[in-house]
Amino acid sequence: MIVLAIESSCDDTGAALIEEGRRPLSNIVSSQDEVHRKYGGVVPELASRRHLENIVPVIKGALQEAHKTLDEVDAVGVTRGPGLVGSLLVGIMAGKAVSYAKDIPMVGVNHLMGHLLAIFLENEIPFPFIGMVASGGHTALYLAEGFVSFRFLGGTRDDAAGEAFDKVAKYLGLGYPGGTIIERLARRGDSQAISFPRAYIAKDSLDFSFSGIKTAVVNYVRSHPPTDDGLANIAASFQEAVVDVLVDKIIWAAQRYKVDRAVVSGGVACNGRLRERLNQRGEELGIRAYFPSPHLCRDNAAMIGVAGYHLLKEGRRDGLDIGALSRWLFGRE
Amino acid sequence: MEVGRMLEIVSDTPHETERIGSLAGEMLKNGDVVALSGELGTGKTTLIKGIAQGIGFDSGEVVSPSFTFINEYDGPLPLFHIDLYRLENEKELYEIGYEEYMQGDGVVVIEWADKVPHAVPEESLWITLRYLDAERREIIVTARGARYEKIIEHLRKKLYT
Repeated sequence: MIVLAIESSCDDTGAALIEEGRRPLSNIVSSQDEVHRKYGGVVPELASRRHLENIVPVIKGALQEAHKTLDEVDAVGVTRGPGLVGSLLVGIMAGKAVSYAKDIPMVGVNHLMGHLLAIFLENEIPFPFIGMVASGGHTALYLAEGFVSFRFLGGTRDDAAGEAFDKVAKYLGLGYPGGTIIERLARRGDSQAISFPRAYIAKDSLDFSFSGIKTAVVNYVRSHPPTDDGLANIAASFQEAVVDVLVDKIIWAAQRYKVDRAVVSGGVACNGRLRERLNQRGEELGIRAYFPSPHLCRDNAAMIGVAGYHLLKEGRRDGLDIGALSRWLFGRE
Repeated sequence: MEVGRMLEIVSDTPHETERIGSLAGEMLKNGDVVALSGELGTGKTTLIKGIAQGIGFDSGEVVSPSFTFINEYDGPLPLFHIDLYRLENEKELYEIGYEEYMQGDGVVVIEWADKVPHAVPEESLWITLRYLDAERREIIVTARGARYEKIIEHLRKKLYT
């Protein structure tokens, strides 16, 4: 089965052709980072306008690169939420058009489920595993028990991990996207220079809070106006505090559910320090960590194709009447 | 302390900020608009968690909408949590469909409202957070319109008597 997958939940427009739920025949992402850099973040209206301009060329590109025509597509998987409604609608409408015109089934996919399954594009790993999605809009931990079976274990109570990176970077006058810039700057800094608070919320809690550390950075900068070196130390110490909490909670979750595999995805999973630290801790404790390649960690349509394929295989279908869901709690039923 | 329809409060801890939000939240009614301003890290999210709790939500439900621009919560009184952090100018606001929320049913809370002062309904409750030191914040509550004066009175009574 070949699935045409479409993703437009935030700032990237993506389309991909996925064969049998794991082989990407193509995976096109048209990033809007250039547009958003100017604004220091995602501006909803800009995002949906750019999606409109991008969606048809991106789908055509995905077909061309896979050397397929629409007639060879068996089904459509499209991100239905969570995300910006105006952006999501562009992808959903395109998906409906293809489904209707070619009379093939369509299924709406939760964006987080896509992230959790992105690893299968590169790696066949057995269930169960602990799955974490950490990005600009999400920070959530799951117990993955099967391709369509996920249990929500905990999530952020305020800011997402990537949002903390973005806001701190903007506050320090460093630009967007914050994650990449802070990681680069952090390499020159001392991660032990400043002791920023690690918010664990409660002993054994699998929830997150990143608002406090953002405040701590602001407090620190107010009392210690940074020099160039100082800036690198702030970046390194801030990054270390975020990474510490993410790693600890992944490990706690793995231990609590007696699982020896952990998969981390989402834009924050591109962070080199996070990869290094989780690999290290995991090795000590017999927990194997998996990270999709950076282009599959970030928003992309291929991962939606994997999720869509497995939902379709389970018999899930959506009609032409589905709408976008800005908030869509996943794995909590 | 109190000047007309304005109340200045010093909050010593985030916990206290949340309580102040909760006291304001329990007085909010359908159609009310709360406009928040204050720099990054002054406790806007904490205050909103309190407001949500006052309305009758679990404060843990409320997360930052910076990424999605708006979060809607269904509950005893629907809560629309708008975050204008990423907005650059007033024009963009109208393009986004922001006005629809101002006419909706429920309570609207707008973070970074000072970015678009003219787009906030004339009758609204303004809460401004100011940094004093690492822990302490000055919280200035201003009632614009008679319906919000009761909230100030309620806060004054609960906090100072």
